Amino acid sequence: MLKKIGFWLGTVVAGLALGLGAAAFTLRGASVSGNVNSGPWNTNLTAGGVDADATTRARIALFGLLALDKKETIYYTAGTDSAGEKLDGSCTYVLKGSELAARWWSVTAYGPDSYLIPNEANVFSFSKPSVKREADGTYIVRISPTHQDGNWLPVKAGESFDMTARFYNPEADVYFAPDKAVLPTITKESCQ
Amino acid sequence: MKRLITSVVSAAVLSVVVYIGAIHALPNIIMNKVMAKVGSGGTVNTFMHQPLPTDKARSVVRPSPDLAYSICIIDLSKGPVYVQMPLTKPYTSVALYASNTDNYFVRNDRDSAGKSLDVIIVGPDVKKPETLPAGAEVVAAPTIKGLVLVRRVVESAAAFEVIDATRKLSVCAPL
Repeated sequence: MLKKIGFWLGTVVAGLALGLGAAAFTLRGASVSGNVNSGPWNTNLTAGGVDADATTRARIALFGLLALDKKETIYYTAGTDSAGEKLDGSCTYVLKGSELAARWWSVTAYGPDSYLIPNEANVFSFSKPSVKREADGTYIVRISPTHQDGNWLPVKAGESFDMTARFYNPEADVYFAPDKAVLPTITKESCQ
Repeated sequence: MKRLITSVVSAAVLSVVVYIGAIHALPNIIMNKVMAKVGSGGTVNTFMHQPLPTDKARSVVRPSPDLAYSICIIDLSKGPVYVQMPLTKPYTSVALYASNTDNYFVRNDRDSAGKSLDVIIVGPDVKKPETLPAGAEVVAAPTIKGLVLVRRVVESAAAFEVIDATRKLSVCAPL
């Protein structure tokens, strides 16, 4: 009898472990990455929408809870630089961009826990009205753990990070061809 | 041998059920946790105005530091809830979320053409109320519990003070 209980207990434990393990594996990685890419930036257009499948919905709940439907906002996230290398808080990156095609936009850096990164300047993002521009309207932002002149987006040395670009009320071109959206390039300059 | 096969097959079937169950349950579990965290003390059908997010903001992942968020946790079990939000520049939106995280409704200041955003939220399978405040849009929620999230773009500290005073005029209350 005891043997029988042990047998079924083992089976149940194995089933539970396998099921939960597989679910954790499916949802692994701190991102809401989707299948639409524009350079290092990618988006999941079902974020927040009622047509999201169960896996997407679970991933969003974990990494992008309370996202808006794509008609209102399109979110692009970059976890790598333009060369495809993982973003590292110990490095300085040069981000070069032009106006994003939306009524209002911002780019925000997040730590590996998906929260804002503590820093002495209390700067967590740059946005359409806040970014300082070059004479031709483009902008250059340095992403670095140490103080930078000009536009500086602070990150934390020794930790990975990622960035989310928010397009509030995206223009029709972005909504219909999100893979062709123009987003900033991210180039590694140096590392500590 | 037969026992081993039985065990492996049973574990495999169970794991599939657990997998599907976990993936489907997770959004509801997380949403309930957030609603409990934000509405500590069981506050429902009342707006809570959050300060501008910093690294200290840890109730919802990936907050935008450029947005002033106002949250009202809605409970439709006792009837419809009326939500009214004055607009602030340059951007105001209201989004309604079901208890499984779905964003089933969103409107912004552009949609409302300069007037305040007025919404009446009714529960699933509930008849529309007979008398309605003029100009309000009626929305059927897919779940009894849910969340109203208002986003207001803030472009400076000075702008935040004005926006904060205006958003306190918002209403979220049983109809």
